[in-house]
Amino acid sequence: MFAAIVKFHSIFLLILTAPALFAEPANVDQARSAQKSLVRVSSTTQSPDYSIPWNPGSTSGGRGAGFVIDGNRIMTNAHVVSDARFIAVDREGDPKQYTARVEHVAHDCDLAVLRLEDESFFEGMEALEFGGIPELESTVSAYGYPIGGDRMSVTQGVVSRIDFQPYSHSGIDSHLTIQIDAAINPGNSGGPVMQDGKVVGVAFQGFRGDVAQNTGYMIPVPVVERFLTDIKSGEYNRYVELAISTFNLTNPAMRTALGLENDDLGIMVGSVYSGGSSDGVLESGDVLMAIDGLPIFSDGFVVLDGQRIEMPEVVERKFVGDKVTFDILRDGERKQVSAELQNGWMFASQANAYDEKPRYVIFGGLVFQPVSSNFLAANRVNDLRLQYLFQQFVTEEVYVEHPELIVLSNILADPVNSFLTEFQHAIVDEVNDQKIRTLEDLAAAFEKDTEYHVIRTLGDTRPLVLATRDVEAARERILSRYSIPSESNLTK
Amino acid sequence: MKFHAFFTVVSLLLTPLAAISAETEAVFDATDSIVRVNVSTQAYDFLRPWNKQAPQTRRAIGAVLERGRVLVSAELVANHTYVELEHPTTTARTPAKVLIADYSANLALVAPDDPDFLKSFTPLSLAEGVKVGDRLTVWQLEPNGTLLTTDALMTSVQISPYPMGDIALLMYSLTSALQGRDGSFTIPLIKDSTLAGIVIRHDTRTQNMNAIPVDVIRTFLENFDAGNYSGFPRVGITFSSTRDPQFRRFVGLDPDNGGVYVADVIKNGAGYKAGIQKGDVILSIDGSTIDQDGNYTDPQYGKLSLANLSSMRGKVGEALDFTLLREGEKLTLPVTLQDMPLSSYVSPPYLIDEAPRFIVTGGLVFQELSRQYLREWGGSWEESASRKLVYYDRFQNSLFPDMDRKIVFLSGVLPTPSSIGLGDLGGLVVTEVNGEQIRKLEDLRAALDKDGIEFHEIRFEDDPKIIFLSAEEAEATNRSMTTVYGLPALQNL
Repeated sequence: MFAAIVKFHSIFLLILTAPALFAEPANVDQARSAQKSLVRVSSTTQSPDYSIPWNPGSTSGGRGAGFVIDGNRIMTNAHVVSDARFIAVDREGDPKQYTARVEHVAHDCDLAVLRLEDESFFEGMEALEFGGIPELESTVSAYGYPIGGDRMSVTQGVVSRIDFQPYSHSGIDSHLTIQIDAAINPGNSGGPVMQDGKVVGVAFQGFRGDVAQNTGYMIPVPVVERFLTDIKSGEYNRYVELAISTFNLTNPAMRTALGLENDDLGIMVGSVYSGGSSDGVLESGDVLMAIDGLPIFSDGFVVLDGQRIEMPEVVERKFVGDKVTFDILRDGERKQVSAELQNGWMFASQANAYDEKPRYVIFGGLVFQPVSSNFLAANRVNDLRLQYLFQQFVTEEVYVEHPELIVLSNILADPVNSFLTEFQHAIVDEVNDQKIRTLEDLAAAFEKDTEYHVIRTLGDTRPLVLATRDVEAARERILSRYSIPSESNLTK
Repeated sequence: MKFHAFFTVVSLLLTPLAAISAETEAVFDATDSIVRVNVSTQAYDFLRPWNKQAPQTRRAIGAVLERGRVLVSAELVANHTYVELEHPTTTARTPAKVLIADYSANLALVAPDDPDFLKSFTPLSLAEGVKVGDRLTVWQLEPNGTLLTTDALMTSVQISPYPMGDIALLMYSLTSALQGRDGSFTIPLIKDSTLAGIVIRHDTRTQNMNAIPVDVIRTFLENFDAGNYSGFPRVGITFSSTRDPQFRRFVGLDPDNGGVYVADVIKNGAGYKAGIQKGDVILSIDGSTIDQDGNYTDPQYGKLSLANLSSMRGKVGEALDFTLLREGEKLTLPVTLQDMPLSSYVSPPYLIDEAPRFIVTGGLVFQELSRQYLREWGGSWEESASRKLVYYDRFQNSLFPDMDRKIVFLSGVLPTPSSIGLGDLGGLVVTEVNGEQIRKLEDLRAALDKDGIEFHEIRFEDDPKIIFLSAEEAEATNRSMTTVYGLPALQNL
């Protein structure tokens, strides 16, 4: 996948562009307007190292594409500018490099909007307009700066498939996606995919050539427009989540037992996650018959704008604070319920995080960090309990008791902690008889004036005991010995 | 398992060395104390619990003991369908039966059906005073029946987990340039023509070897002779080292003495019943002082974990005195030893010689969780099997402290007319069926057999939380399972 464009720079993908691309006059116009809008985005990134959370991280670079949209803005993929420390933008036929900054970034749908310091860049440039969802098998053209040369590249293909796909940038989000068979390669990321002179998608990910061929993916207009609408408020408020699990009702006995007719309508609610949008509105075992008046088929689809599409797409187009209404069947009774939508905060730790500093607390040479997708990617953890609790963090509602799972991630060897190696990768449950729900709780607990700090971890181990005076004596020694600029970072 | 692979693979590559046979003949004439044990085994298939897997054969060398018994490892006879003894030189054979197999201690006794078969043999007696540094001998047999002996240097003795159960017992580590020979699944370890142990593992690369010590064998035999065999006892506590000076001060231990901290006490275990509590510090057991790491000094083997005292110092039903420190006060509690029968586990560590329990209805396959089931995922089952089920197995003592239940789960779905749309379900833990709590498969049977049920209401811990099954349709599906899927039975309880 393209999520890390940087990694793909070393891989040669020998895919040639389609011949006779400029044969049709219509495409000539389209290519000209694309040329007047397309930009190359080069970013220098610095990604933190979650195994050494106090380090600023090592730098690397990546290159992608972008295009001008209304309001002197540039649209690109979030993964092109994630963790960027410096972003340079250039355009066809202009040797100058322009400095850009990220105005809004949506890691949950891999989109970003950039602003330029020097708006003279936009002179002679044209903002592209957005079209709709292209028809299956209709032809589209992808513009960008993929590997294989320096100048703008055009590839052409047809729309192969329209459905929900995971977005690899965050790792946990799925949205509407359009698959095309035009060559989409590293460097295409963020570039426009056009049809009839309008943008119908933003190229963003594909498979490596050894996995599948001729499968490129673009972010379709509904997702792009949702992002542009969301940021009108001045900040990006992210996608909303129903925070439920559902089960398709194709089994005839299940349908009859739930009091349904043989009409292929309705899906069942499995779990309703505490604290989520549907908590108190939906119940496990409810049958969802319709969403905002659209009948829900027993395979989880609805018909929206004439297209058969997964039911969540209805929710996808909504914003924080919007309502969603369900016709439900509960205990044989039909009723209507509605929920106010909010973010799925309980899923946050399972998503890849960007543009954040790792949070940590060091106490007595013990490094404590919240468990997250980034943390696990950087630290090799074989601990079954930790793996299980992270995997089931939402489904078993681990987050209710521990909104953050705080793990003793590392031990910076020092006399104060010589006998504590058995606790590496243990999860903190209580400190000084106080439940630890977040890293802030932990930092506060260590502030307590006490002779001994007593840390209880999950599992049948002895308490971890640190004598406050020993910790105090070791404090400066550990920081200087391990070149640690700060004992903690609690801000993202 | 590694051991098995080595002996079957390598034995094809190596040809017997004549020089060694010649030398051994000069040294020993001991082939009348060992006998070949040939075993056909057929394991159950826990993924298709109505099936058995393909039969296999294993060959080993058994140690002939007093009273016409032959000692082998329990692993050898696991899931046996046929056992025979073979005379090393005449190759005369006789069917044999397994008298006892303790899979936790990995020891088994085999006896020939023909009581005269072992008459010409000289029984091995049990070795005395084996210690670290001893030069011992491993006895193998050449294809022609002559003895092949290999030196083995005893390098250490420690308490380590045994391959099948969840008990840690005394184990010898040795170094030996053992050669591969056919029929060496387990082989005797000898000290001066007496039995010092049973070799159960050998690594050709490192030349490291593990053997079950004579002490474990002796206890096993005594337990068997006492009748009503009850395995090796355990106290049911988890302990932590008290080396950390901050921890010692916090608990109120002076810096110089020993003692280990009781981190956890298994409910209804021997320690629990005797009144040992979390937070107690164990100072001595049966008069042996416990150091800060939980070791005592064994007169024969030196420093060993205190686990050896509870498993070897007494038998089930006998009491050992534990001297504890609790809130600064010394107290002594007699702990009556007890074993942990397989039936008492929520998820048993192994299930051998018995068919897996299951219920199939409407194509839905229900089983009880066991480590034997999880092991079907191969060598790295802890990573590849369902993480939730692995977690339940590993932490069963703390998750289900009363240990009075099993974990019934939907292991898979055979596509049938009843199970349309349910085919992707698997690994779901069952909580309730038709309003009845499900704590074992019998509960499920009873709940499914309830009268007047139109739709079975099956609830799970996991998504989708609930499914319904038409009772009538499931019955019809069940009648066809024999012809469609070839199931010999729809349940085994």
